[in-house]
Amino acid sequence: MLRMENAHVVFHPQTDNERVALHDVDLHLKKDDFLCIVGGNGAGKTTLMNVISGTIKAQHGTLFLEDEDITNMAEHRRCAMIGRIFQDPLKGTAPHLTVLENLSLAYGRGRRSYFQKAVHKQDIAYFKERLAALGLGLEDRLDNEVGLLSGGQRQALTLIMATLIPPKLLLLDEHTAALDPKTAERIMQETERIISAYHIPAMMITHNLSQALRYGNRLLVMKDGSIIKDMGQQEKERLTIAELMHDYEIFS
Amino acid sequence: MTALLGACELGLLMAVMSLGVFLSFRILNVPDLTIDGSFTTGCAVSAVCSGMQMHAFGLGMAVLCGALAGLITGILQTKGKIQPILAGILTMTGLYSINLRIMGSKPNLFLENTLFLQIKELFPSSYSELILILVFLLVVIGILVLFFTTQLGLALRATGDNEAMVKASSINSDAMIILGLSLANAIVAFSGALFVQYQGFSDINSGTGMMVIGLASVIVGEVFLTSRRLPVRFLSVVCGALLYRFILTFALQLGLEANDMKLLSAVLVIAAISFPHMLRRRYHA
Repeated sequence: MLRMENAHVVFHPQTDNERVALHDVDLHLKKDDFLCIVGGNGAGKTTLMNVISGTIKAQHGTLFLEDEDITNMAEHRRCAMIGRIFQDPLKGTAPHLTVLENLSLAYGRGRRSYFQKAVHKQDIAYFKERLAALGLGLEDRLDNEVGLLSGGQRQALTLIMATLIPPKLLLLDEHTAALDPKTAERIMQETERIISAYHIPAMMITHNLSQALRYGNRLLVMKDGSIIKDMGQQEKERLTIAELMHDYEIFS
Repeated sequence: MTALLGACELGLLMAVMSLGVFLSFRILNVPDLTIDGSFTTGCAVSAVCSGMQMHAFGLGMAVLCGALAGLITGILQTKGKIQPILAGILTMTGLYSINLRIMGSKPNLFLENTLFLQIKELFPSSYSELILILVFLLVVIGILVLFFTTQLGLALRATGDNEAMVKASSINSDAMIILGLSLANAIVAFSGALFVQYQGFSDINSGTGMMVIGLASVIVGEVFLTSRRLPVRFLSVVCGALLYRFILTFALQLGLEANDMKLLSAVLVIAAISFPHMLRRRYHA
């Protein structure tokens, strides 16, 4: 599915501030993998995602997505295959466009024909169906400007937009961290439901250790730009928060 | 009456230009100073072509040259990583020399024959100029309205709203910025060309202050007519441009000199932007 080999990232090379953010990281992701990544600040979690999404380029290393070499592919072209949701709920949606316009734009991902009509009436039923599954009543607010929605609603909309055309890989960068506990829980359950319903391989960064244990079938612990632990389903199921905390303390 | 008619004509001409400003300032969210240069480029190209009796061709060429100016600013901004305002200033500065070259190193050109004179011959009426300008304005608005019903138009709007989201939707946001600036400056140059055809001469300094006039039209328009719907917002720009011109005409009638107009423009923009905020602060205090 995703094959990253020897990814090496150095920030500010050849200066006093030189820092290795990723240290020759190898990562293989299988189809149906839902991978959680934990680790202290500066461990390289977000850098890892940035390399995968193409936001930053690794000094060396290769990256394959479904046997396609995407090492040098431009970010916006990768985004046709890779969905990403950030911590900031404001980042994933355009505030002055309506819910419908945002969805229409996202629905063109990777298959856009620019001179077609912006909004297709026949797509609306599908949009409504996807929004209704959230249970937030967004399906009745298609003509509202997104800026009028709450942070939780916007993040829910971002989730739908990122998976409107199921991507080959979904990157979740602490996507529930800025939400209140109840909304965070809702979004998390919805994320899991969508991931399994559409069979989307996913990677999730989180600082919430119970979330890291509860969701996904694989758990990575990162430190200083390296993956120091890679646990599978069984190992993960036996793990307790206390043990994970312990790992944290030892390794960070 | 003549003053009013003249104000309407000039106001509608400036409305065309202001639509270009609206595109870069409101849709793309970029204060683009290329406009001062590209307006003159439109003037110069149109004047030179009219000198060769190719009036309509001149309008088309002006559009192309304006688009090219916007293209350069867009590339400076996205690929050259130059701050948007600076990128515009650089292109505008460079255009001054280019505009002079286009006009054969003369600071101004006078035309014996123009598109407007020809139309006036065909349809002798005191309103023929006004109607011709109105037709051109409606064509520009029509094209814009159509354009913004496409995926491309939507992508352009989204780029000014949230660039990260646009990238995430697998759209090349750099290309959108370049396209938007080209379109904006094409419209501005077109209005410059119309301006020359209307007044019968081209001056190297015609474009100075156009950005401010455009801003004034956009902002004054929004004070009176706000909407989320794009066609209404275009209309609001037109109203703003007309209103702004009426204010200037009124000031001239009151005895202000033409030379004071730039100062008045600047004050008007400052007032339109800052007054609402100042008033609000007083009420909340």
